[in-house]
Amino acid sequence: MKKYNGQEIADNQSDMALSLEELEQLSPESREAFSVLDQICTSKSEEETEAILESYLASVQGDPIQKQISFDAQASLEKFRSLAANIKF
Amino acid sequence: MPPEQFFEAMYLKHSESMLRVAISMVRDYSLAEEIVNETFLVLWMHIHRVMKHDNPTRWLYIVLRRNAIDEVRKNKKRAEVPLNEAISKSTNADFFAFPDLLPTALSDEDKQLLIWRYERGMGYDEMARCLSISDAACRMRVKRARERCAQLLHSQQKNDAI
Repeated sequence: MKKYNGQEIADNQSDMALSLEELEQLSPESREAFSVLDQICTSKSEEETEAILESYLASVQGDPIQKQISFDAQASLEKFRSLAANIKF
Repeated sequence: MPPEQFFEAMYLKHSESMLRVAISMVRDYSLAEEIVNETFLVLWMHIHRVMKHDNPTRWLYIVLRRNAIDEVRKNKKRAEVPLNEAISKSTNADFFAFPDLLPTALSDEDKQLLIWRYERGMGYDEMARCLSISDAACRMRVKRARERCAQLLHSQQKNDAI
């Protein structure tokens, strides 16, 4: 399990940007997703965050990899609880 | 609102979108699932702070982005020794049994997981039942065994080249 400094997590992102070289090695879809995440990370309000997210998710609906996803949040939450029970903090 | 309820609400509201964003970033379903799970573990560890945050959604996605970047960097290192290729070569070998081709320094537990998964083709659900753990925990154990195996193969390859 990674160790996180609580303050560092959400407030200091400067050390966590991908370099240009790293970005160039990604697929265009991955690059776009990281770019959207960059926008989300600098959004000023919950409304702005959700609007960026909503617009991005609508734009990737046609991506074949997205079509593989069949998701049941409640079932996933139950699975997550079992997983968390097996991890020692 | 109690922390458990806040966590549940966040999970139910955001997990699917986070999975979709993660899968766009890493182009791999299992990896995306692991990134989302790790993100929610971090949320749970810092639940009291996030409950007071002015934009918990942004907080979640910042952690998601960080976890995805970590994975991209790990994958870049792993790419030097493509494990699937190594496993595929080893399972096609005529003269060596798959377990003999795993790095000797790999723990017995990791070897067992990789043998079940890649030699016997066992599903995560079946392996999870044998180990009496959840499917998700099993996936995570296999992922970590794969990573340790890749690192050892990489070191082995470097030593062989010297």
